[in-house]
Amino acid sequence: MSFTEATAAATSASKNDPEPPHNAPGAQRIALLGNPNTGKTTIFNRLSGLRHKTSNFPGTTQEARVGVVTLVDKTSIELFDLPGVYSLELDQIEAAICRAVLAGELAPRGESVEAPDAVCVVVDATNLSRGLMFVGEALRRRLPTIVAVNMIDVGRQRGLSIDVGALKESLGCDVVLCSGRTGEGIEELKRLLPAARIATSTPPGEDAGLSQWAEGIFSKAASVAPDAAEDADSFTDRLDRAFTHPVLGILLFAAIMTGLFWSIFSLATYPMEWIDGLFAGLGGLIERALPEGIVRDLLSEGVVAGIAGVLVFLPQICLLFFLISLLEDTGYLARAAFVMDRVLRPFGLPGHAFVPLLSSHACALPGIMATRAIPDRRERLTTILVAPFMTCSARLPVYVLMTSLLFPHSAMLAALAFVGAYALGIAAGVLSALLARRTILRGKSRPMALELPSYRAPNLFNALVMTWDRGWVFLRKAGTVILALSIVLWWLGAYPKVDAPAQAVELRERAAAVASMEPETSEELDAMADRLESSHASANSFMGRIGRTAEPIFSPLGYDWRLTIGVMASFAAREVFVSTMAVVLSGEEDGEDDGVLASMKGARRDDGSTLVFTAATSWSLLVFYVLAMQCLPTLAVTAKEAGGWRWAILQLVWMTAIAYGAAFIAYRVALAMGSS
Amino acid sequence: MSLSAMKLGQGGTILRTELPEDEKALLRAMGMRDNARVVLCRLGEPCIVRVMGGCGCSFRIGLARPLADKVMIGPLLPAAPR
Repeated sequence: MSFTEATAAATSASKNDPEPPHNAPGAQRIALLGNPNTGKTTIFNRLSGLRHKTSNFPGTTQEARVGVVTLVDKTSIELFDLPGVYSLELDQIEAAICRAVLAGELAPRGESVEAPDAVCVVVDATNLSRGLMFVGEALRRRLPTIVAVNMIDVGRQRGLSIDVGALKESLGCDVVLCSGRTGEGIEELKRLLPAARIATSTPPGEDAGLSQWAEGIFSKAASVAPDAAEDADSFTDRLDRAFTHPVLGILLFAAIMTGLFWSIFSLATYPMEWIDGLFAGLGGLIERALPEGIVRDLLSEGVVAGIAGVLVFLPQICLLFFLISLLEDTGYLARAAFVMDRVLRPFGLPGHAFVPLLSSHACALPGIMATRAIPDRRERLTTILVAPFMTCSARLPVYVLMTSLLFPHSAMLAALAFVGAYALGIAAGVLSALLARRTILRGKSRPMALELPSYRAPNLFNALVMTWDRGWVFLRKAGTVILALSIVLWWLGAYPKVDAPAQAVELRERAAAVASMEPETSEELDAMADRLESSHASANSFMGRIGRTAEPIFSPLGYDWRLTIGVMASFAAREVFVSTMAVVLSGEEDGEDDGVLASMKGARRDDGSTLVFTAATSWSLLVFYVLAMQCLPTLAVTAKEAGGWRWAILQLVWMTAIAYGAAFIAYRVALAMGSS
Repeated sequence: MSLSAMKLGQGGTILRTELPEDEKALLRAMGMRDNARVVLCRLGEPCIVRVMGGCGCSFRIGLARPLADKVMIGPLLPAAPR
């Protein structure tokens, strides 16, 4: 059965009279349900810890977590974490998924499709009257149910008292008072989960009746101490006024985001360097241990370099999600979403898009993964499609090279060009978003209505679990694609093997002749021969031949075949442009070496007189690199997060077209202004 | 009057919501149903309201201005007797 048919069946089922009771001798599979902000994730993490896997619900990009809970008697039960929804009857994808799972029409990928044996409904003790409405909807499903009244510690602080016995009697099922944060009641919840039973009565079906039912139970079961303090509300009011202020709110947001990204940049650098160093060492070890040949080259330059190319993203991804999870847990991000909604809404983007777009200035890959926080599917897809327009760190070496070529004597002009590049990327991104929302992703932008959770100290365990989740999902899904593509690109750049050019052979003979008398001269001659051989090998590799063949495509932008090789190699990863050009033009890989930069600056085209990097060409390259999609890892993650390769292909085609057109215009304008 | 026309700190009772059914259903599910008691905590964009849930319980909802303009508020009625 397709997902559409399943949700239609579930929708129909929810409106009919209750079905005959579903009795299970002992619960094997339990669905965890609840409103957003009830601490359902904390309960899930408490119950299953790291023993869970993340997949998705078939036919959707909605994440599905399945955990394993070990009970006191050492048996296990499976726990399905369903999306948080305010009502099972809403016309939303998340509610449809919940209905379909409860009706036995849908299950997380890899799980058998059948109704859960029981349901655990998590409600917020400090919001019990609303929670009871949701419990009523769940009880109407006539599945064995247990209710977990979470955040009981916070409720007590506010003077709230809940009569568990009265609640049990009124609901007709087991109730546990618990706190996912402190662990109170969790063991009792584990004990009662396998013995969940169908409620002894069925709540009313229509909204007004259900509301009265919930109010009646609430008034019987809940009471508040007469001297209960209200300080929490005034504190929350003050913070809300600051965080959502039209000016102060933005300043605070900018400060918090600066701190967050500074932390990522500064802290992630260390593990990234360790990973680089570790795999460089491993590559060297393989080269020393294995005989020369294709196996050694494949392992050291293809597989090891490819794995390093995947793992090097992990520190940034893990840190980003760890810090975002902490921030979200404090309750701040909900307020920040409103602050940025004002800025982004005119472009068809929601306030939630700001963190992914800002993250993309470090790397689009984790930025795209962070779009999961955007509730609306069209807005989420739009954000995914435009995130790579934000200038990421991989573009910076190209910016540095181009601006130093364009303005070798003016740091101020070079800096302005740098800032202009950032601004161009942002402008292209938001305008592309506007276009997408008026065409392929047309739809009304919903005005924001968001529950603002209470401010609280973040939960470190939740943040660690989320970080583990995200890192593992990245490795499993995107990592495999990135590794495969890296190996293919290595092969294209390394083969076919060609004989050393005559000039290099002559240099080696001269080096050998003077080795004993003038060792330093001999070393220099050998180094020159190395550079010539590298440059010759690169030019004659499959990648080099592709570059020569594709030169007519890029010549309108001012690129010769050497620049074409660099641009085409960059479609795998932007950061290879500088090192590729260094190899092609000078035979050296270190693009930051001053001598190499000087030789790149002075390199001539085949006519012997025109510079490779003319001013017009440099402007064209700068604009091209600002706008082009040149990152296969990002494309792989786009395909995964957007739900299909068609979105990744659209992203590649659109960004390449924009980049080509803009670079063409930049080149022609620069030529017309005499910058040849 | 609409929610967006209330004064800061003013309380009221939701009379009705003049929104399309799907947006109305979402607000209702979030707790902003007819006869719910609310207090305005922040004016402008977003409009933040505290929805009183009884027994000292409450929760906050932030609403974009276009939504706040369509939530109609009447005088604050006393809480139902327990």
